[in-house]
Amino acid sequence: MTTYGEIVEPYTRACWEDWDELFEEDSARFEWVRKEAIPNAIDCFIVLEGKSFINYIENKSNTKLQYVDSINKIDVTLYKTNELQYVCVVKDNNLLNSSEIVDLLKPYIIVSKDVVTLQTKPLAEYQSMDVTNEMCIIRTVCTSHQSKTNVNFRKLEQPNIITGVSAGVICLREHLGLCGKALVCYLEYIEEHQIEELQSLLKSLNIVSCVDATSNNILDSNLYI
Amino acid sequence: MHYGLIKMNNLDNIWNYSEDTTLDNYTVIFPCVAVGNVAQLACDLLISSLKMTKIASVYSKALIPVVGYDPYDLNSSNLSCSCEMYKSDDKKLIVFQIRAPIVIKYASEFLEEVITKLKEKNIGDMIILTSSFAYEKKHISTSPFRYVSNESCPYNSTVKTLDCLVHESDSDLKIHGGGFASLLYRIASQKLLPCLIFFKYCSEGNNIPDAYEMVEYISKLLPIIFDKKDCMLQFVQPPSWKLLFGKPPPSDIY
Repeated sequence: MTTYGEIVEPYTRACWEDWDELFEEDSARFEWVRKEAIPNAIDCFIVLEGKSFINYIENKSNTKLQYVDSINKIDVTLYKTNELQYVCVVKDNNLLNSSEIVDLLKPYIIVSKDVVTLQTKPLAEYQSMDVTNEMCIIRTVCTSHQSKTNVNFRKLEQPNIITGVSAGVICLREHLGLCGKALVCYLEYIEEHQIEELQSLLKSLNIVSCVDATSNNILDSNLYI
Repeated sequence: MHYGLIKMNNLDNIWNYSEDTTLDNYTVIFPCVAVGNVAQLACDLLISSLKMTKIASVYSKALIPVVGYDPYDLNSSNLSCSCEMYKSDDKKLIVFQIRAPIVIKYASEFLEEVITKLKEKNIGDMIILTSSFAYEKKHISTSPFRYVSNESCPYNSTVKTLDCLVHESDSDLKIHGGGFASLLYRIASQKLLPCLIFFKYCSEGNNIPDAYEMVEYISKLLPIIFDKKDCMLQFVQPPSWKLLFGKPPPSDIY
């Protein structure tokens, strides 16, 4: 809503924080709730970022996840599937917090032999000259040191990029000279988690025990949302 | 291959240099994330046009993480991250590229580290590029370009010959919409680094012409373009700009 005569400039896509009104120091730092001991070695550390995965994991009884710890003030939970595989589920979608979340995950990331991240994005954000009718496009971003995780998709074409905790984790691994692989799933319907490709991915990463295409109650109902 | 993996201070930043190099008397161009991303687009143009090589990549908690493949070479499998440093030996020029905003609460610490690192490398001077909201321009008929410089800046006489004005500001330098430019300038000046802020008043939209103009002005300050006559024709857009305004419309809408 604007008043008559007011000049309305498009809100800058660049300024995430207001640099012109400096500065109330935000001293709120995040920390682990239980402060669990960091294991000496982890075979694979997985980061799941995006509603589709999270809804699916939370609603299904066939996941293998056991709660380990969580970060206060934001929605980040750490699970393990066994002593050698940890899964971090990131619900917080504030990009400004992502580097701090990565900082808290750093001890786990450093001791891990391999790191895999999965995130979902709306298909509309996928930039390509090719016109396609696919409902789900999966691409990878790999560090210079090759990840041993056997999940292979085409590399993410420029100018597409990934952001958030997944990007931070892969950047950190690259800068430390360690291996890692980011998987990004572009979905037509971002809330949709019945897509077989996603479930197969979770199964191949040993997060769920079987591919289950049964649907969620709300999406199945006659409610139009 | 990583030369000199250096960690320091509370942010635990990682500077990965791909070559062990000194930068004696190099000029550093540093873009700020600001209105229309003009400075970043200008740096993209410089890196692409001068075929600059990446010499360092910085990981910091102060930067919102971004990762993708090399935006200047579509066939490359090298990663590009939030903050990278490019070099042209011929021009004695370093251009930073910042692909994500800096988190305010870590900004001072990070930018201080940037200046310290650059001084350790013995750089000569720094040009900070940024932009400001078009509606902040008070004198309508004047050039859209403004500058601020400290006493030791080597461009103080040259910049006066260009069609741009000194930015009018009180003792506390403010560039509205200019991001961290004034903070970086303050830190550089405190550390006695010759420094110039160069910015353009503009609005969000297609900011490619703004970037072209900015690079044209820089080429008048620095000997970076050989033929001054057709300066803009020598600029090369990076391939990653191809889809700046989105992908083609889906065929099934027709």
